[in-house]
Amino acid sequence: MGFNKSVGMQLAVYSTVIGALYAVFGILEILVGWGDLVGTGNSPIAPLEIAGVNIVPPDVFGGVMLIIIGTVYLTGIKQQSKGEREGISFLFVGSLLAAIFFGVYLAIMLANGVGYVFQFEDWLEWIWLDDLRPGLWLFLTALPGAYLAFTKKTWRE
Amino acid sequence: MVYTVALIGNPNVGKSVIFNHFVPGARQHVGNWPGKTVEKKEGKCVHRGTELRIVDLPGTYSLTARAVDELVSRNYLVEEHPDVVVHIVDASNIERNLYFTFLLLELEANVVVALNMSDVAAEKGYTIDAKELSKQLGVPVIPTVATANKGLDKLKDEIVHAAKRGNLSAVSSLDYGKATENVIDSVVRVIKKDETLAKYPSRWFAIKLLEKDDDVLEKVKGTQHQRDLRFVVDNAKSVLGDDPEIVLADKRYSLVSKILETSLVKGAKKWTVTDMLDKVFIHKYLGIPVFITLFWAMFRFAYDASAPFMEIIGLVFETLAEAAAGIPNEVLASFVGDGIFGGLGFILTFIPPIFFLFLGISLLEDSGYLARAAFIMDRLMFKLGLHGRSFIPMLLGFGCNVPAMMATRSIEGEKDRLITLLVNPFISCGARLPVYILIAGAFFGAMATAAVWSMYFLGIVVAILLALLLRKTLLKGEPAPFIMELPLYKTPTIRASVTHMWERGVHFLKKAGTYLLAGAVILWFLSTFPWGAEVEMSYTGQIGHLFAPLFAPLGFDWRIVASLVFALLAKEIAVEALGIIYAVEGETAIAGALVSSYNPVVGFTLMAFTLLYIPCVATIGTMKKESGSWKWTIFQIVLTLVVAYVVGLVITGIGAMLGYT
Repeated sequence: MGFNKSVGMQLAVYSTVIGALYAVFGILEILVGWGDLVGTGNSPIAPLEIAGVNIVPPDVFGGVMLIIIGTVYLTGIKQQSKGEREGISFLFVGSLLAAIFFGVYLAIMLANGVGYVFQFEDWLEWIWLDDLRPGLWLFLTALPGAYLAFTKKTWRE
Repeated sequence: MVYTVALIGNPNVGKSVIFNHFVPGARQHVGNWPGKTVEKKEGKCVHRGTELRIVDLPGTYSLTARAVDELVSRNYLVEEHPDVVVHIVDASNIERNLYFTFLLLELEANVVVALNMSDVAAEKGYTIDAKELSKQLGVPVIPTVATANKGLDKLKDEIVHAAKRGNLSAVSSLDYGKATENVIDSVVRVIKKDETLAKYPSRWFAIKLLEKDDDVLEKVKGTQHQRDLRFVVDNAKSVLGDDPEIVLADKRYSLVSKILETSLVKGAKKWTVTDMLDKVFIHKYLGIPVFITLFWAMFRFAYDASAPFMEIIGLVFETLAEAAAGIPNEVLASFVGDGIFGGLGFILTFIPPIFFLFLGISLLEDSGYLARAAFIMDRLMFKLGLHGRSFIPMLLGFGCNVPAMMATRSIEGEKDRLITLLVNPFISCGARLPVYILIAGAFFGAMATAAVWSMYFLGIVVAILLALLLRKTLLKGEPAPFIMELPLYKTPTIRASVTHMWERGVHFLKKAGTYLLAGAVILWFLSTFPWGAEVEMSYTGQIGHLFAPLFAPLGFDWRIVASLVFALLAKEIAVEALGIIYAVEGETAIAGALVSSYNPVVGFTLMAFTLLYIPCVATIGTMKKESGSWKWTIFQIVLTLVVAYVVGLVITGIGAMLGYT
């Protein structure tokens, strides 16, 4: 099936949700990490934890990058909702950037795992949940869009 | 008999790939951006018993030499007369590429056309009739896909055949029309009478003269018939009714169109992955943020993912240093423990982040993104009066400033090139990375990646601002228009990217075995002698104390000053020097020792100063070679030192306002 307005509308809704998720968690990372950036240690909000696991780490610059990824998704929704195939580009590149950050954060987690296995001083208390950042788990929500953008070649004809 | 075969074509059409296939053991750097090859490279091969000398020439869009690399290609063809000239054509951009074929035919070269990237052309919906094209051009045309090793044996067969057969280029197919041909003939007649100019292909020389080619005009100066030639050339415009350069180009393009009418069928164009990616990567507003995002990811990977591997190497050298303490001879124990393992060993712990960073750069290069980065920065740079092409050497500077400065040869316009050369050392090369990682890791904790990244950003900002200042003052003028072909995106292969990472990284390893080892020996000696004295009273201490008052406003003490003095040889030596100074003082935990000696502002100032101050010896040598001027080389040394000092003062001032004194 080729790309049409109905498919485009569904993609627009999807891109809005994913884009908003990336942007919101990006803002949260900035707010949590603001204190570290200015050197006071006082951030507008405390680190967010669920069941003792820190799901939003303090990372101002990492947060900015998540916002940029979210913005790429959100920029495409207008064209997608009109059924213009150019709109798929934003889903495609948004997914690509999300995948790159997923790969980088996964590589960092694995490297830290190496540090833990060797029981180096800085890694003695490390647990894999320490590295479970939004850039990692948000990619799971971006996967369906990435799959469609990369495989639906008929949309590009 | 050995036949000489020149490979030529537009930039990024696969010349180096073909060269590597032809020449056994050749490892010419292959990257997905235009302008990689700036010097001709040679190799030999034997095909079906015939020996061939293969010459890979820098990519060029024309034979009207405007940039240094274009001049290299043209001079080679004009002066060396290779037996065969293989024109490698990008089949997916055949219209523009064939224009260049005509330029080669004008040169009366023995041309064989390799219709490369035929797969990409097919993807674009192009069907090219190679036989018909060959008939129209009057030279052999062989379809190839160099990256997949398709058609290359047939190409070699044709090259050997053409070499043995000799030239049959159909120069007659280039009929510029009666009026233009009359003008060309009148110039040719004068050239043939002139003893000095007779050695050049007369028709080609006449055409270039009519096009007012700078290099050809220069060659005419002082010759017997200079005045006659001037007269014909000056009157050509009135005879032809327009500028001869425009008339000739129009005619070539109309010939290309005529030939393609019968040899090219264009089908429906698909919307390709390249189209999709470019929609965002070169987007007016998203382009620069996405560029920042990708570079952030690269530094995050290089810094954070390498940390445990640095620890492993560090532990190895720490253990070796401890073992060295058991050597009975006190001086030898100090030399091995503090000098070799404490100094050289310490710098070697930075191998993982350097290699990881180079892997990231290789991935961006191989994917084709690097060219887009230059494209998006061109908008900003052109507004500032700079040349967009300058950004590619800047990006290459992230690896090493030496090849980056050599890459400026593809920049048209002497002033544009000089500006790019002057500001290139501000771009942070891999050698500075150990300094950043040491300081950022010691002082900035969770913000360490941001601190490292900020140095790369600072380097770009300073380079752009300085370039702007030079453009407005010493090197006034308008930037030449920036025309760069954006290559197709390719999925980077692990093999190619790891090879490119190794090509860049091995430079660091070689340095470790030469400069850094020598530096470690000298530094150890200067830091240990007079034997028995405190380090502060050693020769290193004395050198540090000598210059320390100059740097006191930046918060630098004798240790930092001494390490910066030695780092003039190679920037990594700053870390090596600190390693030796602290090792001789009995400190093994250097990061901890730094934190107890300095505050974060001094740390950040040291990072910025290391980035901006006088480039290493190799870069200075390259500046002299590329600029051909001691004046500009000395100017660069003074400029970098002044800029580093001023930026250091600004950081110190801001730090003081924040309460760090």
